[in-house]
Amino acid sequence: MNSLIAHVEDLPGLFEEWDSLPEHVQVSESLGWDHLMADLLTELDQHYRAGEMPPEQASRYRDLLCKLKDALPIIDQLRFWRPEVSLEP
Amino acid sequence: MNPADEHRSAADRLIIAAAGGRTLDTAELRFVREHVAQAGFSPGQTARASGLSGMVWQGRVLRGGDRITAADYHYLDHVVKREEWPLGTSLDDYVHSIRTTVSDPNSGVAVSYYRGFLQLSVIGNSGAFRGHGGFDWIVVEYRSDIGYWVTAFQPHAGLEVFRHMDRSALQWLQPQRGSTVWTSI
Repeated sequence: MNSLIAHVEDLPGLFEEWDSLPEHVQVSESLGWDHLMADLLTELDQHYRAGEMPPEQASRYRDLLCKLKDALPIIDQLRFWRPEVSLEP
Repeated sequence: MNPADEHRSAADRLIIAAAGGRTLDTAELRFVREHVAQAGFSPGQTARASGLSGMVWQGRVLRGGDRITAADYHYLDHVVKREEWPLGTSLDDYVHSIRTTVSDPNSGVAVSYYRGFLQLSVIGNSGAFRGHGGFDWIVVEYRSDIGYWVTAFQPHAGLEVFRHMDRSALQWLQPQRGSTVWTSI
């Protein structure tokens, strides 16, 4: 979850710099985001919805969902993979 | 053209031909594997340290906007932070594991276009390279137009990671031996 949170919090900075990044770095960033969305977020969400997360971790996950919801405009503009889990806690 | 460039061009021409539908024979596929195994990550400090804020690397505390090498970036993200590789894995060990995966004749090989660029993907068993946060497979992605790896990680959910809207024309040059998971997309 730490990795996901760090990447989501970094999205505004990435967006600001996007046009100045070499094209292969843009692709690498996009591939990295795919991994976060397809793998890590999906797995975390399954644990959360099944009630398997300790309270403190569940609270952090709800914060992550809020950050992802706020970041959707940036995700779309970067043509990044949209989260496929519900962003409602 | 120096011999290294000539070699790269030949291998990349085969990748392009394969993406166009030509079947590669065993020797050609081996030649491509050998080339991709030696490619490495793009040199130079061009990667953004996205998601690595607060990590200490080579005596400095990283911020998301810092530039580091692609090898350092993927090592820090997948090995150190997510622990997809075993604890104690060095950068050289990580690179070695990628070369081993690509060279393994049992690893699957596919080509596809990602955001418009031709990529060759290799998928192999993680085996001894699987760490606490790792999984059964290692995915290596290689960009034929730049001649370097662009990522290497251990996916949780099979080929789910290949479903990006901007990935197209996925073709298997060789399925991963002993698994049907990877040809399901």
